[in-house]
Amino acid sequence: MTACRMFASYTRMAMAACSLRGLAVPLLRRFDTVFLVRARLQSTQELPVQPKYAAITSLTQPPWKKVILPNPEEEILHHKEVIQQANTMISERDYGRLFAVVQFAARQWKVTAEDLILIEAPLQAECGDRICMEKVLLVGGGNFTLLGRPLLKKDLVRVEATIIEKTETWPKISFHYKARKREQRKHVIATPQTVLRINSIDIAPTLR
Amino acid sequence: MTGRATASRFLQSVLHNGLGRYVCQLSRITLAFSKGSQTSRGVRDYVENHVVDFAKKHQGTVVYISPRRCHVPKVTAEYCTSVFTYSHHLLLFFQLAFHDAPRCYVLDQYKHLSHCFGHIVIQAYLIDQLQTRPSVNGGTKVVALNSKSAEEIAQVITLMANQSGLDVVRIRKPFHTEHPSIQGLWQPFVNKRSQLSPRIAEWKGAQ
Repeated sequence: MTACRMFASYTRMAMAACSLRGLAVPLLRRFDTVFLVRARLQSTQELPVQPKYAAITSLTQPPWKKVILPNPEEEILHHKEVIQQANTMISERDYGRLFAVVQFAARQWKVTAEDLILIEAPLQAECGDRICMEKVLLVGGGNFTLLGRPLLKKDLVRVEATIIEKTETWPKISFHYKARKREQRKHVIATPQTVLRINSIDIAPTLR
Repeated sequence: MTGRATASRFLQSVLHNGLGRYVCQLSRITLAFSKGSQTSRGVRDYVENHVVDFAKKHQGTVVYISPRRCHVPKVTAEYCTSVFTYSHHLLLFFQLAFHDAPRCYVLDQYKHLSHCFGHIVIQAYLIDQLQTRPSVNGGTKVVALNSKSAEEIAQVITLMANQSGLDVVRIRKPFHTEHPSIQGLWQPFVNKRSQLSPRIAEWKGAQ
């Protein structure tokens, strides 16, 4: 009887100790398991720190490739080489058709030679006048592109256009009506439009 | 109606206008008005003071002035869409063909205009114009000018001169290109390493 009482007290102690450590221990009834618990507690205090082995899962590293930045000195050499290649292409006129991104009439247009543009505004120039578009953001050929920050210089690129038509939009009807109030108003809106034809895009060989 | 319900077209030009040289698409303009009615007062004022300046400014356009009995004075604009627009000489021929139209009568009231500028062909209201003038293969626009002042009429006529003869409908896109791609269209294989030689680039880099 006393032995049983002693073992019972041991189980209660073990459970208390485990609860202090935050472990959830089920109620131990068998006497032999009491001894095992005691042995476990003792062993965890005495064992040395062992290395942890983390498993490689789908979340160990991000799904995108790791970015390896290039060497800055190599980068400078690479940039010089690229600029030199672009310069030779421009000076030898080794490009075919050029395209440009141009800011005009509060919009940006990707533009080549011989293409048409419709602008929803009246321009002061007359039909047939030739216009130079000054705000050029980008110019490119088949093998190279020149990007401005934000604009390219005027002596580098020249984009010319001709005004071919100055019309109005199709008649848009603004109709306000209120039922059972005898209120209605019809207003026909036709705002002016201008059609431009891009004549040419030229690059001057002054890129540094 | 909504833009989707009505007719629409793409942005285009007549015979690549503007590539070589800009050509005014308006080929013939006819002012029909009455000599005495109150609604034609503005048109009479325009004909007496402004029409010659317009005709001098637009050398490629033939101006017809047709006083006749009508309640509503009108301007009819006819555009050319089939005339070859690159050569100046062809246009001159076109103008001369109009000028040599047979059976052209000049009214005494407007005789002074014919001395100023030879392109203005003045016809009496008794003659049917369609018989004497050759047709133009293009669009036609008619605008009523009743009770308009000379300045308003000048604005209307200037607008007609600046337009091409294409339909005034919704334009689907505000741009038109024959060459949409210069550096090549994007495909999934652009800017990707080739599958055949993935290691060669690394080996070259190591060297």
